[in-house]
Amino acid sequence: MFKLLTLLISLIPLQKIKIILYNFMGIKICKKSKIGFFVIIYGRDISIKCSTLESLNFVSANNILLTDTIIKSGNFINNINKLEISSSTIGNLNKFIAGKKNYKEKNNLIIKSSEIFNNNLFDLTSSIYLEKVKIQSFNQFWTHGFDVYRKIKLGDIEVKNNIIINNKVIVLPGIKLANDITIQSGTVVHKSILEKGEYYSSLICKF
Amino acid sequence: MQILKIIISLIISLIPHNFLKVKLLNFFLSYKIDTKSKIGFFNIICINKVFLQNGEIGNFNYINIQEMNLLDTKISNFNRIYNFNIFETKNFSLVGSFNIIFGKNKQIGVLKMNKAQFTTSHIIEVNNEFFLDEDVVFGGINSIINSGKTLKKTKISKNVYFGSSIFLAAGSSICEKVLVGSGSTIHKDIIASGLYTSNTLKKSIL
Repeated sequence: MFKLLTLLISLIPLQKIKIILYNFMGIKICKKSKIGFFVIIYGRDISIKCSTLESLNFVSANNILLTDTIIKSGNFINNINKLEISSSTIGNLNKFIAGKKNYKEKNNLIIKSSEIFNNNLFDLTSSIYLEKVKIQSFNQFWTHGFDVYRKIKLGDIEVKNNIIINNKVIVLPGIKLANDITIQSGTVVHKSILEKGEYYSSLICKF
Repeated sequence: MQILKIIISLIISLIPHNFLKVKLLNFFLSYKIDTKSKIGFFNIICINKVFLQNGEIGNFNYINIQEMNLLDTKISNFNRIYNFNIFETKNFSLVGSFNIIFGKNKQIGVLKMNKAQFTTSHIIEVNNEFFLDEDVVFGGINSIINSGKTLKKTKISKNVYFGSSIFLAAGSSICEKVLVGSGSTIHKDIIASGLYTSNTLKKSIL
């Protein structure tokens, strides 16, 4: 019911009325923020400050704090324990998905001063921390995997300070990336990188 | 005739009552669907022979093949399954959402799943015989599976897990207890158990 109400409010063309109604429902949105059409926001303790949430977004999380952030269209953010995004831009059609069993306790998504382009997938069975990162399109961040004996393996992903991740990169669970790193397209990051530089995992070969 | 079948199945799938939906599909299109099975909305099911027992087909699926036998199986939403001969699943198999399972000719191509699982957004090509044994899971997203043209069978044995965005060439055969890492390319047979990857991280020299 709450989801449906937020959806109906998002269809109102006047921003001011929209924000007043959201605040009336317990979603704290400042007057400088903008909410687009067909937006569903759902969860406890929601606070949106000076941010833009464009059309066709689905945000379902507890402890949402958006500050100076632009979230473009078609993003799907589902069942996250703590969502904190500040001074960042998130492009179109990104998915931030949590595992249903673990979402209440473990999974936090914290993004600071970062730029995320389109069509990325963030699996949030565990937590992801991104700070001063530029992430291009079609990347996958996995916080859960399986070992040889098919036991589930969880691990937080921590990516910080001047890191560029190019297209189609897969980052596996428990990865930490140190400062000043560039990861080339199509790379599978299967171990933590602690030394600065440029990294790749697939090479073209001549036979 | 096929267009008529498509229109009838689409109209029937719009009926909100599942029991009625199943009965009408059985009556008009001669399918064999038991009443325990569930059929979702906006499905186009255009198949010559259908046998569905205790199965579930979600919403917005397009299925156009020769023969389908589903036993205790779930097909989720937004899948496209078309242009191959036989699709046979049993023992709590699962096809997730947004998968494309296709072949090039309706007369060839067999996909058999026994307690196997495709998660989401995979592309599965079926131009040969493709067997998946117990506890085979294609995890993650965006994998290209059984791609290429060959007459050789593709056989995946028990307890095999594939990571995200893998490429599996047609005609490959994989033994039991294998784990394939994310982004790997499998172009030949795997005959010993263990963990296999085809990408290792390297530092480029500037």
